[in-house]
Amino acid sequence: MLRFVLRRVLWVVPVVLVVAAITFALMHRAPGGPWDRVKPIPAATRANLDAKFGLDKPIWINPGALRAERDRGTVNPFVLGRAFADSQFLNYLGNLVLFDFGPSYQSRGTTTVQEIIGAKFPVSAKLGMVGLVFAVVVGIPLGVLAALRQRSWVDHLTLAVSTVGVAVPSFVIAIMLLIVLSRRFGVSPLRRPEEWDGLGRAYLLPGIVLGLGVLAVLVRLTRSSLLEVKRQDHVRTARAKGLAEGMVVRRHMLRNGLIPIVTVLGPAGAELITGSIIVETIFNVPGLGREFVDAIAARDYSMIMGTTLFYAALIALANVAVDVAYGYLDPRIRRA
Amino acid sequence: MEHRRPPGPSRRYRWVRVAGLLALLAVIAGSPVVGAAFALAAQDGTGANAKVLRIHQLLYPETADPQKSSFTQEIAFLVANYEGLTRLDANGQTSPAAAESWTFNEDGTVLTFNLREGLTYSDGSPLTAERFVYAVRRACDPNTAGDYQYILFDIAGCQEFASLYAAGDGATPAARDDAAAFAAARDAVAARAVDERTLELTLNQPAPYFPSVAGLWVFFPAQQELIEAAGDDWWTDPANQIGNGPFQVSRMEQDQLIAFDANENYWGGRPVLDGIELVYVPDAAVALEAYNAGDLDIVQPDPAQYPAIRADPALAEQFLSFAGTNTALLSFNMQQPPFDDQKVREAFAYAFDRETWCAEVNNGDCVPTLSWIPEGVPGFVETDAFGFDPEAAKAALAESSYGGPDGFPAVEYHYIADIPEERPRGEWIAGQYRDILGIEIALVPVEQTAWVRSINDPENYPPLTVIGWFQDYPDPQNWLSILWACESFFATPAGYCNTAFDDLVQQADQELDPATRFPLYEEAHRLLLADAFAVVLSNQANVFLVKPEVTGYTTTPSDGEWPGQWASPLTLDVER
Repeated sequence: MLRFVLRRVLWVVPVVLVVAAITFALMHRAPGGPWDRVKPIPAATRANLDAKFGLDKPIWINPGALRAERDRGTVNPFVLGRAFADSQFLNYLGNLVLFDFGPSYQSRGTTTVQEIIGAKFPVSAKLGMVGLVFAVVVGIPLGVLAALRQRSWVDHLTLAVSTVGVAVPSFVIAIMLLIVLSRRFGVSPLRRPEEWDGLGRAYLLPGIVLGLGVLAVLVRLTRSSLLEVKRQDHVRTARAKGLAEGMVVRRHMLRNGLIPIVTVLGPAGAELITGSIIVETIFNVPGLGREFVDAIAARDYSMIMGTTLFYAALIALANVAVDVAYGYLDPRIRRA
Repeated sequence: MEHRRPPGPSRRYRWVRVAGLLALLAVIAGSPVVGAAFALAAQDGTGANAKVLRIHQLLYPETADPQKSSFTQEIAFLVANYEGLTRLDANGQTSPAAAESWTFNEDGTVLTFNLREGLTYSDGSPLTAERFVYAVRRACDPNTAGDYQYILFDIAGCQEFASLYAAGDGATPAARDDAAAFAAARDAVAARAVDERTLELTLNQPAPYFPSVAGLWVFFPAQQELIEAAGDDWWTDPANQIGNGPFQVSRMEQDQLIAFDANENYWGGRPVLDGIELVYVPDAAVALEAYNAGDLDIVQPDPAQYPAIRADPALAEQFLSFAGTNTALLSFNMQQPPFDDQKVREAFAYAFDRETWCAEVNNGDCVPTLSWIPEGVPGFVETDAFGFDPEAAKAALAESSYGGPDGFPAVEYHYIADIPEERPRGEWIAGQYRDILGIEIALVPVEQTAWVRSINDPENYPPLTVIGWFQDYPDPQNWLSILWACESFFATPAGYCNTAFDDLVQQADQELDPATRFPLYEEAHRLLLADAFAVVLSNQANVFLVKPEVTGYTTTPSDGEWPGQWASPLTLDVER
């Protein structure tokens, strides 16, 4: 089991590298750069900025620097190699190994990307956890109930709620909740900055809105998965041997019915935790989701790379967690 | 200055009118149990009776470093916290601030500022001329590389210092570790503290507009020892932002809140307000709701909300809208056919209905104009050049080398795809030209940064696109010389060049006597307009909702972030 987990975790490294190369290539292909303004920055200033952020170097490899070193008579292969590797991409990877994601361009280099991620990711993660807990705690029991009482009013209501959850965009629900709460219950639509410290009430509303989509998926998946298991022979056997209904549901139906749910929970959890631009914007949550989207428009290269790689690693790890959970739920997978 | 509206999701809510859904959600959310649960989440804002003005802001500063900033929201912060040598008064004119007076020498190349007596920072420590020397040198420093570095290139030695490491013009760049060369270039920047109260700037050529430049944020005297001790991100900590403005920042929470206290040591006396809170709410719908709930005193609504606001009698009375110091243009690529033809440009200018454009297409978010320099800024001219006239438009097209719409090439109109309103605006423009001139316009959506790159690029300048300019300082030089001279920001990529215009602005730029100077600019301005250099469209309005409790302010066209921002920091008041 340990070897299995270890192998899966190590696989994250090449995944991140490939994502890095692709993102880097796409990012530099996009027209425009971080210093583009309606009133252009003059050449001298632009050159200073490029030098400060290393944008004056070639993107992938630096044969020019290698040639310059060789002309100078350098033979030390280590120095030559370094000159050759003195490019934007390879320098970036070199710093990445040291967990240095570089300075954010939007802040004109005054803050590093790891500082921003360090400050903002915990907020997004907390919000995502609230959303995930809400989705699981409400969604799975609702799905079970709907499956057990198929075609009852519970089932229909559940279906209605989950349809709304899937079909209505979160910004519509968010704005409406804010308006209703503000006008009917006097809840201010604004939060003070300190409310995002710790795990305060501020997280309640955005967490619920964020979790609604996943909740809807969970309800429908749990329901259909359980309906399928419900008709299987081993369940009928369990009933026939006189097991209490609760035991049948918990031990024989849920444990089998949960496997597809765990499959979605991994990626869904990662998605919730990485932060949603829409929910974070409406509730003005100081999270990472907004940073990510803003960075793209601003061509904040280091921020785009940093957040993309961070997310890539997070999602890859979430998938590893799913695989491990499979092994726990279904011993056959562990052995394979 | 750079102006950016968030392209965020808020601008897409307009289409949401799903009444049935609203009813369903209202039932769910309105049920007492659910409501009670959420009511637990309620928490009061500032409960105190202090006179703290709560102002809505859409975007948080990317950097609030005076020598690096360029965006309007950054400048709004800096202007509350700091003050330059001059500032804008209620008439939008340059007036004394940290400097009580200034003089040029005879040939206009040495500018001497006399600082006020007993000038201090908010903590009571003395503010001397040396502080401004540091600000100037820091702004010119190649390592600072701020967006507005170039605006000080009129100061002797500044451009050379900024270009210290740049190769070009045959000069050998200095090595980055050459401390002696760095120190020499820094000390060669011709800003000198003659004594504690006298600052002397030596300019490369006469620059009568320079007292206005001295009021800009690059001159704001942030403290050297605090910056050097804290490093590049010094500006994020209010403890390092000890300023000399009417207010003193006390709290900075990224993307959430910036709070100021009144500066008791301001030379002009203490402001009436006890403080200001800039509350960052990226979503205009949420901001409006908070305003209605009494949690904000001033908000910047979204143009999509204007009709609903005007329809509400209470809100309509609190709606404040006035033209800003900016001008929008429908700009041509004049390097290429068909817009290298003056008559074609005239036809396009005649065929543009600016009244309908502002009132209906933009929901009243702008004021139509035919003058490139806005009213109230020197250089403004009364003109009727190429005002809306469909018959004249058709006649101009008939006189062009195309002789009419037949055989007229297909024309592309480029717009920013990230802003949802841009598409219907483009469709309206295309419809106008189809109906009046019989010309087909193809709409091309472009991602915003790619668009910005294209309007600075002579190779890829769009055939037709809407661009705008937000004034840095109230001088025609900022509207004409730096934008439309042959080698300048707007003219080069758009392909405009008129040597008669260049001669006039060059002469005016160096003329010290305003009585001679401004008429020269007006003449140049008329030349520019007569060339049909673009379709002059409108001045975008500054629009706010202001609670009746807020008083004591005079608006200036430059008040883009809140009314009274420039001229009334001391008298702004709010009833609590």
